[in-house]
Amino acid sequence: MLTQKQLTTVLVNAIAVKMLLTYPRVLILMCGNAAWINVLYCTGLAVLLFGAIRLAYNTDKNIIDAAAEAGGTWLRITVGVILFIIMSANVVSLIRVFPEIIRLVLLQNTREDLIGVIFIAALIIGAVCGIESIGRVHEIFIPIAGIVFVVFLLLLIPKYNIELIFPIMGKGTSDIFIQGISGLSVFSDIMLLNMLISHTNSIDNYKRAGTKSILIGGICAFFIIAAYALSYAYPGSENFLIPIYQLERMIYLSNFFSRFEAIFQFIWTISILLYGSVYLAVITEVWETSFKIKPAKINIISIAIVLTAISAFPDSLSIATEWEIFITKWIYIPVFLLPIAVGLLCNIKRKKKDGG
Amino acid sequence: MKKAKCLLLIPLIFTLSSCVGEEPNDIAYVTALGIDKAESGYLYTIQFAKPNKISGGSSEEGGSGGDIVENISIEAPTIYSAINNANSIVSKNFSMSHAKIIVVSEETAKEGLNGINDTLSRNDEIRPGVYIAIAENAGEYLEEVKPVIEVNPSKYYQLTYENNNESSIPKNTALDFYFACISGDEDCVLPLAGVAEADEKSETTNEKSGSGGEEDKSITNKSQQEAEKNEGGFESGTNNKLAGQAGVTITNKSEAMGIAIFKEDKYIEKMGSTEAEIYNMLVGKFRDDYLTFYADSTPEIPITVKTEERVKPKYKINKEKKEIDIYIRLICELQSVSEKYRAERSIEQIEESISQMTDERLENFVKTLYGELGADVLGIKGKLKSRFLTIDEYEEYCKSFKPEEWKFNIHTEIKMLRTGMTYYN
Repeated sequence: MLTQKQLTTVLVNAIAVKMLLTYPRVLILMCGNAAWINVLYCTGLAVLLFGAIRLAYNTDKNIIDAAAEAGGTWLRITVGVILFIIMSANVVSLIRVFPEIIRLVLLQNTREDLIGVIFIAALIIGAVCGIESIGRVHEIFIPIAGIVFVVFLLLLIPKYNIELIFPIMGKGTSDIFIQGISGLSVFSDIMLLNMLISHTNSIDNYKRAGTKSILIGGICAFFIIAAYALSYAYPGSENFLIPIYQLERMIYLSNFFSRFEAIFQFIWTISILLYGSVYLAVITEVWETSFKIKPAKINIISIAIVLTAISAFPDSLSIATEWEIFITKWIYIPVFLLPIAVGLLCNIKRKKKDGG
Repeated sequence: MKKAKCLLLIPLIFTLSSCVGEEPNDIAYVTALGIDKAESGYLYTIQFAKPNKISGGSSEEGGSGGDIVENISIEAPTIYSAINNANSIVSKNFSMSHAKIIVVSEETAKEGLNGINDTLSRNDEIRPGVYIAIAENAGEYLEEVKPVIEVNPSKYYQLTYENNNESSIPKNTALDFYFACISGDEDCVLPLAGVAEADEKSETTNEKSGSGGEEDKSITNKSQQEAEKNEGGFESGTNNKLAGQAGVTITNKSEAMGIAIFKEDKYIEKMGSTEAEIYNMLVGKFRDDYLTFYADSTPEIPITVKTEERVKPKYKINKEKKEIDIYIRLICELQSVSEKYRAERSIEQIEESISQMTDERLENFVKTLYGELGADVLGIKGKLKSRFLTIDEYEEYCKSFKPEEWKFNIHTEIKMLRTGMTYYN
């Protein structure tokens, strides 16, 4: 069973991973140099929405079993399929983008499909080990990653220029607070919690881990975006595909220490492998629970192949990035609405039962 | 089953077995790149290190002067097409990952450097901290780079362009230039590189050096006489030198001195070492340098002070009146005065007159930049960003921003903290 700390670290990693890839650019494109305000705003909104989930969702069953309890087989399958689509959409862009980025910044002479195959193999091995094992690795790894992250932010201090944060409202209040509501998608990984609930001891763990991870993840996202906005002038900051990598490259402590990205790439890769493994394990569980399939390792391999096949659809990295922008625009709606809806249906059903 | 699992781990050992693909020995590291205008396209001078001549290389002897680097020139449309061509000339493959400087000719820079900007931002191999310098002839400059006391060419460029105790060049990198051009918040300045025009003095010889045994020859710089003398009290008695005009006698003819001024991505004008010092003061990058003045009462006696700018200058901007007050605070330490002149008796007076001289010189410089050249190198546009709420409002304002319309008042505060190791009553 996952402890509250393990659950929190799994979710914090899931939320923070997005910020390591192309997501900060999506936010900069949306709000300009005021993306940091959007992150704070969305973190506040996410805490409120999760508060609503906490009120509505009062069962220690995972969301698919809860749907089965509330509406029978058809609701179970419907919720399962929706969940499968949401989670796949979340992870598919990573499966596509990660090998491309690794080729771009690390292994320029290696074919991206070979990197992709090795990446998927690593995800399969991780998923086969099981969610509890991955949770334990998270518990060890996240504090180390946290220290590296803090050192990274401190080393960037000489590069910060407060003038770059202005004009304070960036592209405008409407872009930050109305269109910018899609920034909630950064917390879309909170969906994992609705399945991981069956791997933890109590509903309390679920509730506390959810709020904590949103806050910690939101703070990490805020610091990354703020560091980027303080170091890279807008509109030049819109042009870089992997903002955090650009920040790493800026660190320069004379010739003795000028390639911090080597350390960061190590942390980056482990973080993404853990994220991918959790997703693969959970998506497989979603599939198995939805259709009452007997859990088996072969299911993990099958799901991995399906996800890899979907991720191969975009012809190029730029199209994959467009996909990500599109997914980001809409994914937060089902992520926050589905648990509330299922929780409410469950409550109604129980009341009816109790009344009857 | 356990044994089978352990056996599966064995292949992992092979993943830890060093580099896959190219070994470092198979790579030729570019230390500097020169870009000149050619009849069709550009002439790229690729300067690369000779590992066997660098101390710690296979020969363990090290070299000096021209020994440690080699230059090849190739006509090509872009940087990487030049590298591609060069790969077929030299046995090893070129890598730009250790390049320290890109030298661009004035003629090329006048046409605009957005092409280079694009290559630098797109490419992962070139570090963002690489320097861009402007020279009359980039290829010639690189040919003349013959470090005498350095055995590592990268170190040579690093020490020349990153020297914190030297303010005669601006410390802007390719990344600063990129953002100045893309964001439009300011116009950038870059270091000026040049070659001393000189005759070799065959009778003056240094020690034999390097395994090649080539004899180094000293030179006397003729161009030093062309450098104009500084007028007024600021840097009194010294020359306002451009790169190539330093009054020295050395083997290495290459020099970095002065500033190249840009408007957007186009080079428009060059100025000397004194202006570079002033520029560094105005942007808060003047670290630790010696300045020479005189006291009003005794203009014939030079006063040299070690000067440091510990805090960044403050800009008070009146957007409506288009007036800017710049407050600079310099900490000084008396280094040399004439024996006959007791500076200690009139420290406050010296501080006052140095302040006035500095204000006057700095105001002249800013007038030239903004009034005559129309270049916003101090980034006034960028500093005004905080007065606007949204990017749209700011961009609308930028359309009507004219550097010529702005008036500057400089207020320098000089604080003579120490008088050196002596104190005369």
